[in-house]
Amino acid sequence: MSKISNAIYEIHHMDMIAGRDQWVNKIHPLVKLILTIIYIATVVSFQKYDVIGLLGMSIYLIAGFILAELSFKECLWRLRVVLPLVCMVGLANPFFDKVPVQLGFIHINAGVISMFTLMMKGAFAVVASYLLIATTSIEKICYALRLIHVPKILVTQILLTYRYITVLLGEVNRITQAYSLRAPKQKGIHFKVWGSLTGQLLLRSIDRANEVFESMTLRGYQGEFYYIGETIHMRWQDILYLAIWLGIIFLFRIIPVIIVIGNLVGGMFI
Amino acid sequence: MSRICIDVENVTFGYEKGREILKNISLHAGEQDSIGLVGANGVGKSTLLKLLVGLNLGFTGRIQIGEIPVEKETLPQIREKIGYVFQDSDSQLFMSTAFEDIAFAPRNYGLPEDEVKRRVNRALELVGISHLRDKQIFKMSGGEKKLVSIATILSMTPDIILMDEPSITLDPRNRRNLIRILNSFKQLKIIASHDLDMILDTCERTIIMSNGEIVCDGATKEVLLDKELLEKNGLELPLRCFTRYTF
Amino acid sequence: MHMADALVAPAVAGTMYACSTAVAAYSVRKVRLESDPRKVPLMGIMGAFVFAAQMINFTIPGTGSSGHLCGGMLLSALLGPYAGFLTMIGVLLIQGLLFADGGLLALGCNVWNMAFYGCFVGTLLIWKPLMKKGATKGKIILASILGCVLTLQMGAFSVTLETMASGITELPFGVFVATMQPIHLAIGLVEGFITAAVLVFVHAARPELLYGNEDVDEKTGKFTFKNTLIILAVTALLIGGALSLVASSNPDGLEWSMERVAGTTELEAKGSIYDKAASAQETVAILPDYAFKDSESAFGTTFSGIVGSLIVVGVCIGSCYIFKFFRKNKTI
Repeated sequence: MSKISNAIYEIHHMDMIAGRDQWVNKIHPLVKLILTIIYIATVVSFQKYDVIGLLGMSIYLIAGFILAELSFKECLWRLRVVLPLVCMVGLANPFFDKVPVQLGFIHINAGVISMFTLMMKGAFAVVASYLLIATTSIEKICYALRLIHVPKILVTQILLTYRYITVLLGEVNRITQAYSLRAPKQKGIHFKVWGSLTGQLLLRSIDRANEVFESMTLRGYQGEFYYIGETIHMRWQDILYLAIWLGIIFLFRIIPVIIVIGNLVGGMFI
Repeated sequence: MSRICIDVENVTFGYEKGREILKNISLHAGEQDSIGLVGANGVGKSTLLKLLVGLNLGFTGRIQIGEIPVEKETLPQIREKIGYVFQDSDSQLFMSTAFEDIAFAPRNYGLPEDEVKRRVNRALELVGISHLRDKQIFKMSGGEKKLVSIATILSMTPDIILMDEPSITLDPRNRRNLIRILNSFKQLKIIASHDLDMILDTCERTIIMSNGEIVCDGATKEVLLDKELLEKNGLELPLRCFTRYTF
Repeated sequence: MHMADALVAPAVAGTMYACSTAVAAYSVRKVRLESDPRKVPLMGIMGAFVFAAQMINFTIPGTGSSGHLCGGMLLSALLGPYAGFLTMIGVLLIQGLLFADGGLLALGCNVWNMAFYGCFVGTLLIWKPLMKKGATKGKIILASILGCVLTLQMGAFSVTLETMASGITELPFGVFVATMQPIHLAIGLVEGFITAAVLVFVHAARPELLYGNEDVDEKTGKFTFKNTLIILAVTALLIGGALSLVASSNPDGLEWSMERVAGTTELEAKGSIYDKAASAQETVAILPDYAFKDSESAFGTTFSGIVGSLIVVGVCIGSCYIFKFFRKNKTI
C-alpha cells in the first residue's frame, strides 16, 4: 500500500513547492485562479481540428514553468491520471471520423487530428492546474475563493479536509500495513473485514471530530469562523500580470499567431 | 474572574446511569497552585479535567471556577479563562498554520486584529517557538505540535491551565523543554499524567486517584515518594528513584 | 468517473457549474438552518476520511481485482444529504487540484455527477425512506447497494451526455452508453457492497450516527412521494433544458453528435456520415481556414506551422529568461 505513502509525499511536496519564496508564488492568488480557469476554458474551446492554434497556447505553460522555476518532470507524473481516460475517449476518433486529410505527404483520417487535439487539451489543462497548485498554496486558493464569495462554510470544509488528510492517510497507512503484515498473501483487504476495518477507521475519525469540536468550543467557537488568512493586497504588478496574460491568451485564441508569423518568415524565403 | 480558584464538591459523574466514573470527588485548588493528577489507566483523570471546563454537564455535586458555578449558561465565561490542552495534538490543532491556530481563540473573543497578532507573538515567545509561526501544522513533528498546542491556550491569557498527558509523545529533549515551560507559568495548573518524574519536576501538589475517587492529596515530595501508597494504587515510584541495584 | 477538463466544452462546463452552484447554495442554507456547530469539524474530518478510505484496496472475492470507495452515499448516510454534498465538493476540489483527478473546469460536472446523485438521489430517494421506521441490517444493505448502483448509473449517463454535448468525441452515443453503463454497474455494485459493509458495522457499533435513524424531524418536513416526483422532474428539466441551451448555442459540437444519435438508435456503430469527395481543396477546408501567402497546399500550412511554432516558442522562452535576468539584477 505504498500508494498511500506516495500520496502523503505528494501532498507535502506540493505544499513545499507552493510555499517557496518565489516571484510567481507571490502574485495574488485570485489572479492566478482566474487566469487558470480562463486559460483552461480557452484551450478547451478550440475547434477539434485546430492543432496549430492549440499549440500556440502552450506558451502560457512554457512561460509558467520557466518563470516559476518548476520541474517539468514532476508534472509529467501527474498526467498519468488523466491521459488514459482521455486517450480512451479519443482513441475512438480515428475509427469513426474517417474523412481523409492530407498533411504534406501523409494521408490520415481527420479523426487522428481530433484525437491529437483532445490529448493536447487534456494535457494542457492538467499542466495549467499544476501550475496553479504549484505556485499557490491551498490556503491562498481558499482566500481567493472567499474573495469571490464562496460561502465560508464551504471554504472551511476545504481547509479542514486538507488539514486532516495527512492525519487520516497516516492512519490508513498504519492500518493497512499492520493488516498486510498479518495477511501476507493478500494484496488488498479481504471481504470479511471490509466493514470492520473501514468502520473502525470511520468511528475513530468521528471521535476525533468530536474532540476537535470540543477543542474549538473551548477556545470560544460558536459557529463562526472569523476569517481565514491575513489580507493579501492586490498590487499593480498583479493586475499587470493578469492583463498581459489575458491579452496573450485572447490573441492566440483569435488569430493563429503561429501561422501568421510562420507565413511572414516563410514568405521571406519563398 | 475575581478570585482564581477551583472548588469541586462531592461530584459524582458517569456517562451511563449506574456506572460512575467519578465518585464523590472533592478538592480545592487556589491561585498559583500546581497540581499533578495521577492514577492508573481509566481512573477518571481526563474525565475530571473535562468536567472542570464543562465538556460534560451531567454531574451531581458542585463545581465552581472562581465565583462561577459550572452550568450551561456560564460556560462561555468559564472557558474564557481556562486553557485546556488535549492529549492528542491533532485534536487540539485544526487550522492550517500555527499562527491561525493560536489566533483562533482571541479572534473568537472578538479582539481587534492588532491585538490578536500581539497575543500570538507573545504566546510564541513564551513557548520559545517564534520560528514556527507560519509553519503548517501537518508538517510539524509531535514535539512541535505539543508546543504549539500550549501556545494556542496561552493566547487566551488564561488564569487556569489544564493539561491531559502533555509529555506522553515527546522525545527527551522536548520533554525537558516542556518541563521548563511549565515551570515558567504562574497560573493555576492541573496536569494529568503518567509521567511521575515530570510531575515531580513541575508540580508542588499531587492528587492520586483510584477507582474514580481521590485517594490522596498532598505535597508531591511526600506523595510521590511513598512507595507503598503508589503501589497500592496501581502506580510505581518515579523512575529516578530506582537505582541500578534495585533490579 | 472523474471527468477531465478536456472532455467538456466551456458552455457545458458553465452550465453544470451553474447547476452545482445552485444546489450548493441551497445546501449551505439548509446546513446553516440546522445550526449545529458540531457539524463543521465533522464534515471536514469526514472529507479527509473519504479521501483516505479511497486509498484502501478492497479485494473482491473470486476475482483478483480490487474495488474502491467513491464516498457520496457513505458520507450522506452519516452526515445527511446537505452536509454530505458540501463535504464532497471539498473532496472533489482537493482531488482535482492536488492529484489531477478531475479537472478544474470540469469540477461543476464532477460535483453534479458524483456528489449530487449520491447525496440527493441516493440518500433522499432511497436511503431515507427505507430507514424511516428504523434501520436494520437488511435495509442498510439494500439501501446501500441500490443507492450506489443507481447513483453511479446516473452519474455515468451524465458523463456520456456531457461529453456528447461538448462534441469531443466521435463515438456514437449508443456505443458510448453501451460501454459506460455496464462498467459502472459493476463499479456501483462493488461500491454498494463496501458501503453496506461499513454502514452495517456502524449500525452495530453506534446506530445513532446513521442519518435518518433518529426520529423524523418535523422541521425538515416529511418526504412524500409527490416531493420525490418533483425532485426527479426538476432534475430532468434542469439537465435537459441546460443541455439544449448549450446545443442551440453550439451548433458545431452538438449537432454533429445529435446526427450520430439519430443515426444510431440501433446501437450499431456507424462510420462517418460524410460522403464528400476528398479533393485537396476540400480536405483543407476541414482544417481552419488559414490564409497563407503563396501556396495553397496543406504543405504550406505545415511549413508555416513549423516555422511559426519555432519562432513563437523561441520568443517566449527567450523573453522569460530575459525577464528573469532583469528581475535578479533588480533585487541585487
